[in-house]
Amino acid sequence: MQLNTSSSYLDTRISILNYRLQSRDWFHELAQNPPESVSAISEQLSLLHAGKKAPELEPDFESLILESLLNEFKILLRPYYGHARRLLLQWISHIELRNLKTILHGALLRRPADELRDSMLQMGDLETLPFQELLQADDILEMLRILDRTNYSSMARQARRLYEEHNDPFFVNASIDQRYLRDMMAHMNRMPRRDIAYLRQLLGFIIDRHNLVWLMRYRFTYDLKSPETWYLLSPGGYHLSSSDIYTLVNLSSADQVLDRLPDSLKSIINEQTNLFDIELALENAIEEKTRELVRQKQSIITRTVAWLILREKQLLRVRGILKGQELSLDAKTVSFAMGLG
Amino acid sequence: MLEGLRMQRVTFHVMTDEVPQTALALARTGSFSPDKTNQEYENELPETPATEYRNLYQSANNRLCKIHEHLAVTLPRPPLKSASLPDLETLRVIDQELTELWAECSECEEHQRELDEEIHLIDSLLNSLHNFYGLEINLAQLREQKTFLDLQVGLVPVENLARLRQAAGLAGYMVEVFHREKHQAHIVLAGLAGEGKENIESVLRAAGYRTFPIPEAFNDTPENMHIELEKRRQLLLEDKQRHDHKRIIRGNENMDNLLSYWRALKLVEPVYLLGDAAHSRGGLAVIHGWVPEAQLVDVIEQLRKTLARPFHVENHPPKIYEYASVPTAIRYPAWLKPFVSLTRNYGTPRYGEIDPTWLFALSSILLFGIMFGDVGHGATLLIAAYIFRNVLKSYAYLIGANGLSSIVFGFVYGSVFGNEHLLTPLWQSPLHEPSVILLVAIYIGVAFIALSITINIYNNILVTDYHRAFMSPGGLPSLIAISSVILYAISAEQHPIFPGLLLLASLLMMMQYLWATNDTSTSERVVVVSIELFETLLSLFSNILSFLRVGAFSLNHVALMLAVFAIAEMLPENGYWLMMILGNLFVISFEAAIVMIQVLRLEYYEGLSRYFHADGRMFRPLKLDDSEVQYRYT
Repeated sequence: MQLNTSSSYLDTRISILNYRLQSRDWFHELAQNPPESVSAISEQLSLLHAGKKAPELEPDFESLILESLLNEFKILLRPYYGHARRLLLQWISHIELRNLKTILHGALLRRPADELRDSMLQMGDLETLPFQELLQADDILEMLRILDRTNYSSMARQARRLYEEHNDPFFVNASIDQRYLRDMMAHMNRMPRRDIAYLRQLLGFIIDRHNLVWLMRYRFTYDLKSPETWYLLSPGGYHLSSSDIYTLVNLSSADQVLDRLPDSLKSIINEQTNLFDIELALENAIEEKTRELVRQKQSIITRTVAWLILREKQLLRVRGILKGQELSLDAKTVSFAMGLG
Repeated sequence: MLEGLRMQRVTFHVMTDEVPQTALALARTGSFSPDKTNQEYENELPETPATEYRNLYQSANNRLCKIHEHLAVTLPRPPLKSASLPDLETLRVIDQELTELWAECSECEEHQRELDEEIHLIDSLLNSLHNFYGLEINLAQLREQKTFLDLQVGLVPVENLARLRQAAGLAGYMVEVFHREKHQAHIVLAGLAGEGKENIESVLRAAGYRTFPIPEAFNDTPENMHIELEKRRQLLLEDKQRHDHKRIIRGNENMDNLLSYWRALKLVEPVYLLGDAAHSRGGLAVIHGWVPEAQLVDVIEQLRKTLARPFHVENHPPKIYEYASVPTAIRYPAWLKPFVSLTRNYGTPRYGEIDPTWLFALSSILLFGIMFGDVGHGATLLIAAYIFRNVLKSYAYLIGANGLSSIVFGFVYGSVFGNEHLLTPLWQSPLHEPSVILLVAIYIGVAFIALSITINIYNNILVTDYHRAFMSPGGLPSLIAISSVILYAISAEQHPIFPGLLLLASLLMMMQYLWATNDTSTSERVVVVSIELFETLLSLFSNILSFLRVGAFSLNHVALMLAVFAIAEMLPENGYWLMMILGNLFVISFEAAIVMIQVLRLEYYEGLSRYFHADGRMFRPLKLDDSEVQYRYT
């Protein structure tokens, strides 16, 4: 919850920051005509680097977008306190969780610590995990003992059990994502009622994507039983209620699942049957919803989270386009991979 | 004394295979600080020398730290002066041995964790013993496998309970919670054996479920069951103690080995700490760093004694553009150490910049004495500092010096424990003529700020920033502005116009600087320059007035003691002395603390913020520290 003065400030602040967001057409254009330099694109996206303007930046785009996002996050976080602040901190923890996944994968696949360190994202003062200590762990058990002393102990234990059971790092990712979404929902439920109504739309769309995609994978790719699949999915979807999921996990084929989806979700998926296409369609729906929630002014915390989600998505999309250019992929492939149709 | 040791920027050209010996020799001198920011030769010499040494050191040292933490052993402090650098093969063996030893320790830690978990489980069981009886099922049967019915009792994290309940429903199971703790729920699961059991097991694993160990005597009386569980708990605790004992034995058995590993790694540590200060290509390597000018000959001599092959040294005094990266090395007498920590709170002086510690120490002692002048209270502080010197450590000097200053000003004011009749004052009591002491405080403020500005001018000249030194609001113009006001105050009748002209000149100088350093539009510049100019003048004079507190606190001290006397005199004789003792203790503790805070405020805000850049870095030489065994994660 925030004071009215802070709400006005945040409203104005986000309205000002909105000019940093780009339209889908802009991304289409970018995919067709990739930029000549990283500096040019950095300027267009208003990427900040310790107060300097884009042309002075080093060309490490990955760290640049992360630093920009963290700077913007800190600016938006500042006026918040209480549950709203904790919700925002929970949102940003997805970056730390990405690092945790990297480390857990690395330990399971016995990758060297230096390699893992290089692939981690630097979160500065927002980091809560003892990554240095984790990287020095000799085995997964030692790593879990270190994690036992942190807030992520139960998450790491679940990930480990799933890996031992199924021997597939995909499960590690899925369980961490599930825990993350569950915690997001828990923080959301502590907000004032009006904010919950808007936040539920935003998080509900994201949870729907997670649930539908992972339901299909768990049931029909990894052949998990319906109770375990149910357990590993997250509550709180917007289109898919708990009872919908309860029904869907008991179906015996992907076609049946797609057939029994609620109409609102069917219209989003638009008769796609391939899991990758379904995921893209759901991603696009999340983007549309997020744009809509950034425009509304009833719930400022939803507006803040939506802006951050959209901003991160756009920065990652630009990174993807630049990566495609680096790999000499054609514009059509890049557009498709970036969900631009 | 005020600017620290003069430095020389040095580059050692050595053979690549002698980099480890060079690093060790440099560490032995304790006078070489690696310069990791220098990129000279980076293109010509793109490789990193002694990579394997560094990797092995990092790997072995990390394990040694973990082992040391696990075994909790205290190693003796062996001398390293004559020890020679271990070769790569020795390091490989050490790394291997440490890997094996850590594997044993890690296994032990894991076993300890399992024991702790089991003890926790028993504790939970003991807590929930009564609740088991509330269940209307025979729990003794839970130990036995059933043909049709699957019954389980266990613990599940509370956060997973709701989800587990729904998932169990899908598998044809029901979940009954019979006891709930803060983080865990005690549950009974019941369902049909067969396919449902297979379904539920994977869910239970994912939900972090743990089965209760059901004791044999579970269907016995509560007392016997309690005894049974306590016995099991005791056995687990004994097992834990055995492991602890084994850990101690392992520590003692490995003491010599650990010591030799530590010695070897300590000798290799300088190679690791060179970091990016060393570059190489093929057989040639360079090492960049800083050496105090006075020690350079000794450093070169040490290398000459150590290295078998020729080497070359380039050195020059730091250039102005290098100042930001030059480390600052300053030596202080022991009594100044507490003041050093107070100025280091603010930052480290830049190389060449005037070190504020001396000025800080002398002025703060002086200000404290003026504000807290009393022979009795000062003597009490001095005696307390002496008595508690072991507890206060170097801060005993700070308290002692302030006590001494307080005594001196006590003689000046003629005050002993607030009594102004026992001594003839060398000057006068503050309360005798308050306006005079306030005026003196203003003079002190003018002198203090003028001195701060002068040091700021010097510091800017040092880095050839003449524009800032002579035109900025924190430089010469402020000094001229202060002089103009003083001149007007003392000779307004003889020179009515000249001080005004001086003030105008200082304003024009400040305006020029503010205009030149602001690159916005003309209209914005006009606004910004006007506001900043106004703010500069306002803060300059308000900061001087801020020194009024120096006089005010000396008055406050007298007033407080008068209050103590007044209250004491209202009491009977016994009460009089009690009040006098308590009142003086109050003044010595609370008032002295408040005065110290005010002194620090003046020092930091009116002094250091004016001239101390505080963005330097400390001279941290490579060294072989024999004095204590230190472990550090790398």
